[in-house]
Amino acid sequence: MTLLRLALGNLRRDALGAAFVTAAIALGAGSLFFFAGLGAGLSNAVARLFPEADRTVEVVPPRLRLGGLFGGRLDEAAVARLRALPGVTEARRRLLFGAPASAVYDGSFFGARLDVAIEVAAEGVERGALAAELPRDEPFSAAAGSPVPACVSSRLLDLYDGVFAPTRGLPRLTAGMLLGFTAPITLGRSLVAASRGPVETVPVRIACVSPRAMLAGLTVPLEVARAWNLRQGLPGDGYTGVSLSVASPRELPAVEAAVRSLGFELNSGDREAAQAAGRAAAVGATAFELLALLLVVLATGGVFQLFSGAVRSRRREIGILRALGATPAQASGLLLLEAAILGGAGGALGLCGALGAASLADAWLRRLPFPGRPETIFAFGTASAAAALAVGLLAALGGAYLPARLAARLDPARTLSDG
Amino acid sequence: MSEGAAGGTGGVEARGLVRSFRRDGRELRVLDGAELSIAPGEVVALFGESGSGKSTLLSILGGLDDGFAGSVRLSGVELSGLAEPERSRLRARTVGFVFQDHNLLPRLTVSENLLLPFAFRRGERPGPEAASEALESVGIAPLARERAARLSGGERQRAAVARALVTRPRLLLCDEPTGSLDGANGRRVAELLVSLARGRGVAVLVASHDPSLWRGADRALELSGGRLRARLAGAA
Repeated sequence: MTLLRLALGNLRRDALGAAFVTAAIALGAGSLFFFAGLGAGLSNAVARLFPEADRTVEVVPPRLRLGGLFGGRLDEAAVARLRALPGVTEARRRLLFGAPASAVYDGSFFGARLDVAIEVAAEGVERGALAAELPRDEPFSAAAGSPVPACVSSRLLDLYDGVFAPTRGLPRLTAGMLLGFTAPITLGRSLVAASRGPVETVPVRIACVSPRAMLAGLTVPLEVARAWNLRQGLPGDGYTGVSLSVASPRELPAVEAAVRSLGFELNSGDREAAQAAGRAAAVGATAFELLALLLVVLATGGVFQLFSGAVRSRRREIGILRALGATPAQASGLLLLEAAILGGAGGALGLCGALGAASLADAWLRRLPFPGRPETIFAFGTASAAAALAVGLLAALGGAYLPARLAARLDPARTLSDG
Repeated sequence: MSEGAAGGTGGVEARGLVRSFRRDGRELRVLDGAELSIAPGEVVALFGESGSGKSTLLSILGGLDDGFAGSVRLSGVELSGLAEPERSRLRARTVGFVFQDHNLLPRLTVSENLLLPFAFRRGERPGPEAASEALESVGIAPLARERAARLSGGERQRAAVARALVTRPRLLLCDEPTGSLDGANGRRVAELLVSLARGRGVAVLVASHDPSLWRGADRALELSGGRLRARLAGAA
């Protein structure tokens, strides 16, 4: 306790220097924590926008087909071959509705009036493809006399909320509000092109909002898309795509090569977008983390200066402590204790500052109307907080290390006689 | 009292001490075969001119200076064979220092100054009552909570004596302990030191310029030419 009081008293003696060094450590450790949180938050945001992009291979039929020579149709046999590839854990079939469809709606829309006519695209998928977002009691299958369950893209909802709703005076929506909303769509009729098939109107009910759903259209059960195609006179067998899940991102290249060797092509748009966004986030965050580390190094230099001066001005005090029985290690330990107090305080201040700055940044971003904006672009964890505190402590201890060693080597007899 | 008993039962014994310094490129031999023995409870006054090596001798006996040749036995332990941490621990256990200008840490209270030596000892944490008792013995108990910087010169030196004795040392080394005090205060501190040390069986070596203050000492030695000589009776 006496040593702690002595250490605090020593720090108070050069309060300005101690405050400057604490602020420098706070800036360095806080910046490191802030940018680590920003990098992790942006990675999370990218992962939310493109879920499982690094574990999924999207297979499509080849654009050029000459019989079976350069690969063939995505039929059940092809799906079985794809499912059997090494590294593949799941193969989920996808089927685009191949005829025109449109929706005309003129009615109440969550408290506002909506009068809209739009072209509708649709794709059929297996329930498992949307299992993460579908309610547990939602069978996601066609039932006679009931509206067709369909999922819409969360990115589309973000676009609506961020751009469409504010500019047209429409209410902003959440995924929860949309569930159960039912509207009719007309198959076989286009608003912009001639239609060839029979025209029929079917009610569609929103069953989920998912980042895995088709971006600009409705994602419906696979058998519904097949039945709609058949009723429009389109082929009822085969698929327009297969999503292969792989156990780990490391397996992607091998699986992609195997898929190509089977004569199929890859649709890697989502993954490339995810990778580009992830790379940009990572590079930006890393650059700023390096800058923060530079600040930490500068803070370490400040600590060195402060404690070098302290050892010079406190030679006699150190000699007294040695005369009272302090070992060299205990004499240097007192300086390291003072440094640890500065480092701990600086690290803690930096953490608080980083959390405050992150809240301000999030609040500012919430006022910007850009689609897909997450609630927060930061992800702070206890590990990164502990790391930032440790960096603050290490910066202080590292800066004080050489002066402390110098203090340990002071000749007590000489310091006492020199004064 | 035999010479061996002095070094082995709590006193100090030095044999053939040689200590040199290089100054301006020349070797200056401050101690040149000095011999000394102080038994527990014995008070020895050490006189000598400025620069004669009194402080150097005290530093060597207290384990602060290890650059000497010869032998020093402190409470039965040979100092010259000890590594620095062991010497520090032995010093903490067995030696008390009183310096000319008290050397209290001004930012700490008097009580904290007294308890400071215990901060460097393993497993020994006496409470404030130990400090109060020591301050009582030097007559400044009411000043326990005062900051050292606020004390008068005499009070500071009494506090320094209390700090040197609170750890119950076997050897008390005093370097001009009355040098910064006026005559009356110096005499009071000198009497206090001698009576406390005798009462506790502590071996005391007091280096001083002023023989008149140390008439109560058991012996007086003079350091001259690097050697110690007994001073004539009545000179101290």
